[in-house]
Amino acid sequence: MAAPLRPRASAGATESGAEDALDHLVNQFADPLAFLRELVQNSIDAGSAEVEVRCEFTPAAAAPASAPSSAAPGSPGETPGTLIIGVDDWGSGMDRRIIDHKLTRLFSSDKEGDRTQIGKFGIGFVSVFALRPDAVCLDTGRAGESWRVLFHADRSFTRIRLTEPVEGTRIQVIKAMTQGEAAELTQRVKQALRFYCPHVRIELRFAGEQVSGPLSLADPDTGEPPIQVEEREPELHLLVGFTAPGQPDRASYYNRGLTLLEEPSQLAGISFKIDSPRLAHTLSRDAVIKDKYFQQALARVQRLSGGPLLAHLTATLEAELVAAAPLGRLQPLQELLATCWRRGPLPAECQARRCVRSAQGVLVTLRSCRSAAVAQRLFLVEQPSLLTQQLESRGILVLPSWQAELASALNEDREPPHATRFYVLPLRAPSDAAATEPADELRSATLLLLRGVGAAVAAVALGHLDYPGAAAPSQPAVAQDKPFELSALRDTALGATLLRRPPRTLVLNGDHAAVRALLPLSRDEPELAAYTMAKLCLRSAPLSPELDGRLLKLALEHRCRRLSR
Amino acid sequence: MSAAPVSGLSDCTLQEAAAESYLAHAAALVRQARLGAQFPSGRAVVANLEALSARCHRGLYAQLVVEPRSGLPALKEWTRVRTDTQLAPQVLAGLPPQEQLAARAPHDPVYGKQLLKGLYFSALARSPPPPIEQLAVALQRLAAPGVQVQVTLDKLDARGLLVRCMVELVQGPSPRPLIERRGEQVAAAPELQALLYRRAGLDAEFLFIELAAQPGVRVRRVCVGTIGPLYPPELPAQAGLCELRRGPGGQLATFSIDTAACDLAVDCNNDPLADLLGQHLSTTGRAEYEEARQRLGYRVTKDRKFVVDGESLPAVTALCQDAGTRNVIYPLRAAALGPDSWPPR
Repeated sequence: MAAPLRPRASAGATESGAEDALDHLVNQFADPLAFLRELVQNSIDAGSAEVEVRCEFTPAAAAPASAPSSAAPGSPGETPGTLIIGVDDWGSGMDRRIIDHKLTRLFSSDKEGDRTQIGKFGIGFVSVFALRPDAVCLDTGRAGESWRVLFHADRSFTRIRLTEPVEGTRIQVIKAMTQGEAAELTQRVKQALRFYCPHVRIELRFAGEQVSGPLSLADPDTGEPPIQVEEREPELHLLVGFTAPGQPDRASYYNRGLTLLEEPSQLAGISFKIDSPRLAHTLSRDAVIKDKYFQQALARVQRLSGGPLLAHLTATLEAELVAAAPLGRLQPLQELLATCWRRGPLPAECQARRCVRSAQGVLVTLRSCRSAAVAQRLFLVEQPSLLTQQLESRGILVLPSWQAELASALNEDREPPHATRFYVLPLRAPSDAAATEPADELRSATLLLLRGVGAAVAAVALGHLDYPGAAAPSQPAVAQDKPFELSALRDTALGATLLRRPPRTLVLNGDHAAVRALLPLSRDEPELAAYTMAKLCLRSAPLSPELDGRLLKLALEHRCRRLSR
Repeated sequence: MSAAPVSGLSDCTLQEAAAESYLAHAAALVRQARLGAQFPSGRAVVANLEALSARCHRGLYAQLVVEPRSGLPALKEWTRVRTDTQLAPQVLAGLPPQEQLAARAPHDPVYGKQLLKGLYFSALARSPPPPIEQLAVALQRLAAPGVQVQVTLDKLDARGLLVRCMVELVQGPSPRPLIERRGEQVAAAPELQALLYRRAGLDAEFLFIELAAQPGVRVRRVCVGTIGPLYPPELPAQAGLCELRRGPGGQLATFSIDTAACDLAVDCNNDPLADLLGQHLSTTGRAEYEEARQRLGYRVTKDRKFVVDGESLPAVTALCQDAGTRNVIYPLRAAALGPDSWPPR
């Protein structure tokens, strides 16, 4: 194609078609600062190991006092001047032939098809005109030959031989603006470099500060790396990870660390980055060419996210559990795993990982946990206790409730029941003689009374039901086939069931307020205490006036008998 | 010239403080040169120099041997870094935990030494210095029935200089191709490896002609970038370029590029220290040589840049002026001079 960037002497001689083409190419850059990516790309292709970008604002010389000014008086932001955006590299530079035949011509790049180069079309440099600069000054040199090429606002250029040797290429994009505009543009330049060139392998600096770094999926807010897997080959670098909480799922494509495209990830909860010299954007720079190689790379992302990433998550969680990491570390990992479980079946190797810790501290595989859920032997508790110890010894899996999210996921998205709503384990009362004397009075009086009204009570014992992690602490008593052993709560009901056979042992809850009050009473008035205790046990019988009357009559008879002895 | 203890030109051995000072100066000279892709990676060289420093090895190595002609560490020193880096995981696995060593070190020098060893090998394992010698082949184009590749060889040459030899060639059909290709995977055949290792330090034009003589090969470009010689102040005075150093802290380094390529417009020698190959040929040899150039369609450029301290700058400038060359000369920044500023910037 003809050279629409023309020497100044021949200005006006260019065909309008070429001008149109240049206009089109310049205007294709939706972001005028995309030229930074193009220049950095050219620098990398030129073999430079470093690129320095800077912005320098120079105020205009003081205007005459009589000159009209639209600026607000005294407003520093409105100080007119010139901003120079400088981009320096130390690459192979250009000689006159390259300036004349490559730089100032479109589509004349010899990079096309060369896989060791990023650029392809020979249009990168013209992107500097998207900013509508007043001038662009380019100094370059190669093997002792140095040139300045000064591009004017109309894109015509003047080439000047320099006497001083120049290494690499130094570009200055010059634009008149106010100080306020310059400050704002300077910020945008820095942001643009971070966006367009985040992972270039060269040293890219803005005003001396390094702005590029290795490929990473770290949370932009915290800098924390997520759970991620990496795959590296000579021409492909893949990072696939779980999206940081609160961040959108992103799919990012790079060519040698230069951003080609960032878009929402199609994989829920997954963000990924693909860096490959085989990826390329379209001529219009707004999309990645979705060729066979692109599709292959995407397929690898999917494979990584569906296998190795999950394996890494489960392995990490298992290691953290083994190391007894704090809940602050474990909980997010389990929640992430719960989300993955809900999305679909996990590979077998993941299910074999011990990602759950029981209330008693035993590490349990996901597969076992799932089996327990299916068999309805999965429960939650607030804390470990003798109850959980007993449950686990009988093959019932009890998880501390901080694992409720994962437990729910493993239980068809229903939170497993709390063990204390299903099981009860009374503890024996202390065997101290002084402490047991009134208890014995109460026990024997209650037993006598209940049997007297026909209740199926084998014995009455005093126990504890209110201890950390216990079930039924508010019950005055429970009825058990085998006292002080683990019982299903539904089998310990009082009331009418007390009147039915087979006979069970009534375990009084020594921690219950009423029982605590009755114990001292039973020392002097055991029948009265037993009557109250019996009513508490039978109150949901329902306690008919007739039964109440019988209880009272019997208690009074017992009392008379005792007093008469 | 230098206050540093040096035991002689053939065996330039620097002890402790002198070695540290030398390494800092050498790294600063390399860093200041702003080396691009035509040279061995400046970052890799600086990382290796840093690994040679006592800051990294913590006094485990008492001295440093420098090749006086190149001004760079001797082959055994580069090899030591490479070997230690490779051995690091193995060594660390055999050492007791560092906390244990740190607790025992104050009471027993054996543990003290083990602790230092652990710290050194941990540093190497954490950020291993890239190798300074390597061979890479990159596919440029599939040009049926051939393939165009870029072969990059980094090596320490016979003079002790660090050299990058970058060759672009098209391998066409041949009974014994220099480039082995499997699908899109390309590799250098043993013949090419041998040829490059033998000739990498020589003239680019010579290598171009030799490669072009191989059956089925069309050479597009040969570029040889050389780091050195370096003359930090710790090195003893010697004849030649080193004499341009001025003052007790005088130092300089040169970095040359020698290119023979088909896309060059003209021959150009911008190297004040080298001649073009053709200038050394006899009349008869020249005719053959010109015929080869015509046939192969390449031209040659040579260039050289310098990094030099302020005092020595006029002498280097004069050297270039006398040779009629216009060379990039980077003055060594004062901040880069101190040995106490790792990494030197």
